[in-house]
Amino acid sequence: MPKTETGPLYGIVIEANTLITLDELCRVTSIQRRQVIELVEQQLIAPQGPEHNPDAWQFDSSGLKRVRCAANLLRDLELNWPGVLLALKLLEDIDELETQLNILRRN
Amino acid sequence: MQYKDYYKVLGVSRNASDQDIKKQYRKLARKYHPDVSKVENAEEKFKEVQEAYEVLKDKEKRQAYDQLGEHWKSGQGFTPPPGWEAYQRQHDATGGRRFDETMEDIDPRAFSEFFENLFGQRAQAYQHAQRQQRPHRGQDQLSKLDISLHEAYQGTERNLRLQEPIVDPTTHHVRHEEKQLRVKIPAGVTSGQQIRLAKQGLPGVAGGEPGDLYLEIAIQPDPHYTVKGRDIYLTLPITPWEAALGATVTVPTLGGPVSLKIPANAQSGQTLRLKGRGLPSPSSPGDQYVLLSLVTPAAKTDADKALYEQMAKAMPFNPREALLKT
Repeated sequence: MPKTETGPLYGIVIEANTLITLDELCRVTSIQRRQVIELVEQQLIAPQGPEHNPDAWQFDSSGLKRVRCAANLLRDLELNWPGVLLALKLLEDIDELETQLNILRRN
Repeated sequence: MQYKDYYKVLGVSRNASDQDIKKQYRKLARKYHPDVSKVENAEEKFKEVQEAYEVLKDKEKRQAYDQLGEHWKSGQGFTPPPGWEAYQRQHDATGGRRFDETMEDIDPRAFSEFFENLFGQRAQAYQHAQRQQRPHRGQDQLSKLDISLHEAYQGTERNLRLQEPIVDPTTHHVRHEEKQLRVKIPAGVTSGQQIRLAKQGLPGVAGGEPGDLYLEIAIQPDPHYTVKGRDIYLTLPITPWEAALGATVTVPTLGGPVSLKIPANAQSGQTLRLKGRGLPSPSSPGDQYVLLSLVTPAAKTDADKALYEQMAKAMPFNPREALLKT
């Protein structure tokens, strides 16, 4: 039965500071554990928690977004892993530059 | 469901080689991939391209697709030909896919009903899960939500409309159902922030829990402010006398106009900080940075010109001195 017949809407209050574990991250992004660990080693994402205990890591929004981007680049653009690392870094640089440009452009 | 003309989507002929198909896919993927594309509706276009490639790159799937015939047009109403289920079952067996794990193994990308029913594995996975009578967790879902800077500042309530692929428990036909949710976005969200709505993802099977829904917030460009994380930037035009002598001016902020003291001898490009006037946060609210931009009034009348000439005589000053030193 279609759920929108009477259009039930329900209110949800959101936790804005979502932190997720390594397992949850891998599940949501379909990316492998060792790949996430490498992203951390390459300092492309910085989870909270003890360095040598991946199971205790907690990832915030920016971590999730970046890992998801890595998964997309791997799958959709068929990049190899070093390519993904480079692309992530460059995309971050571009973002930063565009923000700067926007700020200065309005002068 | 509607027929999809995958050859048309990729812009290749029906007898294109694997090579050509790959080339075309790569070209279009680079053009429309949402992580790198600036094209409008890139995400929509990319989904189409992705789906087309998923079928045409796979020899078996392409063959099966070709057997549907050439006379179909994109968007045309379509039902799978008789015997299609047998093909799927065979494909499942020869593919050696096992669904011992969970429904989460299914490709999470949002494909069309056409794909889901003809080439997807959602229905088989569902049936396996049903037969096993073991609870299987539903898949997580992802959605983007655009909000304005002001909504990010104050918080907002929005209606979300999502498409869910649902497997009919009796026919095992996959159809897209619309789900509506009303969500409260708290004040102070930043662009790129991921918000998890527990159990709002796809339903589980055999009594399994539903997956979660992840919302990605995107703050839309604002006509006046630039946002960087929680900080916001505003360019403020000021007059030469306000810069030279200093002044107290009114400056807009997200929370309403405030007074800002411009120090004497301020220069164009100088940045002043309004602490705590960016996006709110319980622990570390952002700041508003005001970039001073000196605007010189035009010398329209003779009197104006005389004033400027007087100033030039009274305050000899060469701003290019350092530049021209050899």
